Amino acid sequence: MVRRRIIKAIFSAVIIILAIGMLLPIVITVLCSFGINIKDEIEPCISGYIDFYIWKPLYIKAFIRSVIIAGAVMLGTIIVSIPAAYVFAKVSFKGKNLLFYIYIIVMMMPFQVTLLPQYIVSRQAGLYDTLFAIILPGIFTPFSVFLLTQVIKSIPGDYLDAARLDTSNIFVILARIIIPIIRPGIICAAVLVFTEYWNMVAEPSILLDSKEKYPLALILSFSSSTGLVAFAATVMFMMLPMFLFSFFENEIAEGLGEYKLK
Amino acid sequence: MILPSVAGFMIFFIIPFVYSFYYAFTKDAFSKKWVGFDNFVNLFKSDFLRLAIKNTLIFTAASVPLIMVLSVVIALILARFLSNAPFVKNAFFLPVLLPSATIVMVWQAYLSYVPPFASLLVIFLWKYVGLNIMLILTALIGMEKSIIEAAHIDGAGILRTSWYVTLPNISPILFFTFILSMVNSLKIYRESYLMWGTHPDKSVYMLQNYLNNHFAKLNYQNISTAAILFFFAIYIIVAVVFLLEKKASEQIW
Repeated sequence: MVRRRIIKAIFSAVIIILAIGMLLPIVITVLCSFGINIKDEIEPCISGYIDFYIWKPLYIKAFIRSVIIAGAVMLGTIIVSIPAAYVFAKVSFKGKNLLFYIYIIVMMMPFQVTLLPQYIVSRQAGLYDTLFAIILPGIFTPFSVFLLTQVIKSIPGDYLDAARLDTSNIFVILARIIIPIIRPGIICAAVLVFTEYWNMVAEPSILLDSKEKYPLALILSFSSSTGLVAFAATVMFMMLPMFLFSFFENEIAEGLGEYKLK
Repeated sequence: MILPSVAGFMIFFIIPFVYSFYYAFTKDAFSKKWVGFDNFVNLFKSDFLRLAIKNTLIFTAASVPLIMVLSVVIALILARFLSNAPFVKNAFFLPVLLPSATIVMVWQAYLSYVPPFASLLVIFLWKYVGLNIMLILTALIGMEKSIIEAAHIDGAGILRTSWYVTLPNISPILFFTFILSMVNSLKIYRESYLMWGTHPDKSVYMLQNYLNNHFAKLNYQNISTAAILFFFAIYIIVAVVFLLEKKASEQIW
């Protein structure tokens, strides 16, 4: 028993130290944003944040654009994906498996492969250099369809049969039965999609032309954006996904559990 | 019901992708002359492409096994010893949510002397190990406790129980994290681009650099040809992993 306790203590200590190491870059960023820097001594101050909110509107405008892009993609993809996922999971039709397989393959493509097609479409549809060039393809990315299909598959068929006795309206079944049951899965998909589009760098750099339309992730990536205000902007930038995560923490863990191959 | 999703998917992904097949077999965007497989042959003659393929393969071969071992070990320890300390689990998951720009900024400020390849590897592990841990952990928690207890009663130690009982039982999710890790290892380009721009050190010049740089030149032929090669490479890998997964799950039951 003593031996087990020692093993437990050692393993726990190693893991906790690792976990602290994981958080280190985050802590450093926050410290830097207040001017607390290991390299050169500056007085701790909040001038970075004052610049961010008042004197350098570039950053806050880009922040708002990022919210618009990631928010629109998140909402759109959830609205489109839920019915599609329901059909993939619970309705059988010819060619369903093939179609689903194509969804999975496209999901696994690195974006450079799908970027040229997207670029061609946005050029031809006149979307190039508008935020829609990013939002519209984003809504139809297969990721959340795939995730939600796996989640809906796990709903017992009896539930649906019982619901079908009460109503034949499929939208009522979706709203009253499916959506409440798969809430964790929906939230999980929403948060992951949001972060993905929140963090996007290379796609906007190709699909957008004018700098005034760049989202914050891209602006922060320029080597010219250094100094206190850039660190302050970075802290503001990482606050939002963290806030979303802490808000839905338990449901996300549950949602990810459904996210597996069946 | 499924139509909105399929229609959008077709318009934004499939039809343009099929269209890019056409580019791969024509001479240039203006003459549109059919040249068969010439583009593929030319592409393979390029030293840059060969370097890019080599580096991508090396990075994937190094990073994916490493992250799998790390995340399995950490998840097992978390599940066994630290199941009542959720903040530790969250500390690992947090980097997934953070903007790549942040970590790159810190990395540049404090660790710029680390060799590029090692930098990318560490950033990759830092960023994605938490996602894998989370996935494996949920599978572990969902496992029947009685199976493990039975193994203990039969006299199996911690290591043997993990290897012969726990891991085979969560094999579907292990395969899934494997695929996901591979996809994520291809996404490391984002960090590479943020750190070194379009022309990084030779040791980290990857396929995505190649594709992106040809994009800047609007070289449709090269980029669609390379993209199609990429597509088939991924297709083959996915097919093999699916087959293996099927075999493995048949063996358990």
